[in-house]
Amino acid sequence: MVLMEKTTSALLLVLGLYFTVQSVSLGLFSSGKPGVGFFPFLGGLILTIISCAQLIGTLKICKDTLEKPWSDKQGIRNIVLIVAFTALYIWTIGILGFLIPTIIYLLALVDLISEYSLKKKLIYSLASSFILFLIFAVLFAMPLPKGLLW
Amino acid sequence: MDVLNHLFLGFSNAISPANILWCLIGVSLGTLVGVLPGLGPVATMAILIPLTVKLNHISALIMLAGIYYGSMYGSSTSAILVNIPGEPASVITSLDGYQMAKKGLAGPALGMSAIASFVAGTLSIVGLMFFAPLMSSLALGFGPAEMFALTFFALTILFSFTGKSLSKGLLSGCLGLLLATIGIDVQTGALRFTHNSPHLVAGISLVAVVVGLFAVPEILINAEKISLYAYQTHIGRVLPTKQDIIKCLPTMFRATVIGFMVGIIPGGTPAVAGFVSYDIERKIAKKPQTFGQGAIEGVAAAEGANNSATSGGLVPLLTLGIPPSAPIAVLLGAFLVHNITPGPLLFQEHPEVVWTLIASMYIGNVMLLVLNLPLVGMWARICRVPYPIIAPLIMVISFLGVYGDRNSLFDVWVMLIVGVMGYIMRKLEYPLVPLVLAFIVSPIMENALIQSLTLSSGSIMIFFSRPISLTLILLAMVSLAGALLSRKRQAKVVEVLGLEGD
Repeated sequence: MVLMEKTTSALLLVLGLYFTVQSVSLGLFSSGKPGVGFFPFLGGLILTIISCAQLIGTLKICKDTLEKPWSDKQGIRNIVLIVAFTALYIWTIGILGFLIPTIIYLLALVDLISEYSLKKKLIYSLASSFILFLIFAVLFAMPLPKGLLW
Repeated sequence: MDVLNHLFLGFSNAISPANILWCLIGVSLGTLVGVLPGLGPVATMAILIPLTVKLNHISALIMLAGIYYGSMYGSSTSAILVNIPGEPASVITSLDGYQMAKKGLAGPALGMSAIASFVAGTLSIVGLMFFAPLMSSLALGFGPAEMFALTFFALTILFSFTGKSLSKGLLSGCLGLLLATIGIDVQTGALRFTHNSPHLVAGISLVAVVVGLFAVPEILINAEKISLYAYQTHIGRVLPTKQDIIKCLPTMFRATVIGFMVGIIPGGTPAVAGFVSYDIERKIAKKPQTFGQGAIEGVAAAEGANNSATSGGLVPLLTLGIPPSAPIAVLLGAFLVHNITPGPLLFQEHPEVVWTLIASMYIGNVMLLVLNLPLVGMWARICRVPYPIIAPLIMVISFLGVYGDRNSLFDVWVMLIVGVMGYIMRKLEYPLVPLVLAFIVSPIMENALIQSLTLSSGSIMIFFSRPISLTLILLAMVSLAGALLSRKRQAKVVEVLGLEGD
């Protein structure tokens, strides 16, 4: 938790510096009026100052603070896998289309976070995918990503 | 008289079969997401905004608003039956509601919750009806300096009083302001922070940010520890006794006024309204010791106030274009998606939209009373649906909602990245509401700032020489100083009592 606090403050500091510097290059004033970079410059400057103070504060306080765990091992594993599955899902949906990756994605998620039998999980993922497809693609006529396999 | 004429116009539109149907869909969906812990109205509304693009704009807004106030009714069901509030607004309801359920009085608690929600919800719409046009006509005199001061004031209040840390609130808000500047600058047409990426030219999608911040972290946090929701409570008779209703009537009226006033203030969420109302009710009660032990007035105070706050929150949205809380911010997004800009001119330019929306809320509240009194058993059974069944579906529906907004897979990637960022922020106690509100308000604020400085040839004295803007800026400074002082005092108390970590 403490490490994440420090890392987040540092990342926000970098982001603040990025917006501040980039805004200057965009131009703070043009013909005596505020320019394109004026507003983001102010935002970036405030972000830089506060994140800097936050980082210093985190470095000071954390020495005396008890380390709180982020989550238990199972929790962290679930989070990492859900994010990985979702990234893979978004990537494959552009190639294979909506239906097949959705069936696999739902199966993977329900398998990860529940203890139902494989048969139930399969029925759930197949039925849910088809129902979602019918609602969104057929009923709402939403243009879903089309790939090699629908 | 003018108000009544407009209301008549609103009702004549609202009672069309299509609008009645969308109102029913909205309030039913709202009740459903309120009952189900883990999927709130913010995420639901955000997911559904893109799907409403093909709908008539009035029907779309009626449905989305129905989700918001409907969720306030639904969230009390799980709070009373299983002590798991579907929404933060019902945390206070669970204090006495769950105690009543444990004593075998779940039915009367649910009944009182529905009645108080109905009474306060309906009366607060009357407040909205008379207060909003008044505020709108006042706001018509606002120039860019006043508009900048107003957005500055609204954001400062939110940064100051949401979350445990002032600096984290400010950081979250600054991030929102900056993310909104990515893309084409509407005033000059110049590109900012796009790095020649065609995906970034149109800016970061509001829907991707909102769904990413509210739906994805909810799933990730819940996935850390999966629990199966199931209730054992017997509901029994639903209607409270006549004596109970008479005893709670003054409470309901007080809760209406408190909830409405709190709802207008930026950061005055239904949860805050419920807490303030409950606290006042406990202080003036003849037997304050019964509060927290199953006092039916406690349920009425909390539920009445949180429903009233939803109407109060619509006042700054409709009259100033400023959202005081996250669900209202999403509703503002829905207005913008349908090319309607809320603000002082809304009542003049789109009276049919405002008045139909207001009239639909009266109808929606009657529908909710019917849905939540005789059908309470059905909603209670929904509490049994296990989270592992719902969570994967929410992820796919979120994906569909974000993709459908601009038919862009890039936006879905943005949703995932913002979602992970939102998860980390929630774990580290960075408040998310300032980020999303700043993201929405940023273009209004920037326009007002640039216009003011152009008018004054670059002098910032324009903000201090006009009475309204000066007052708002002073109030913003006072709120920042107040937040700083109260946090310091809080830290001292924590240090003295050794409550670190609590």
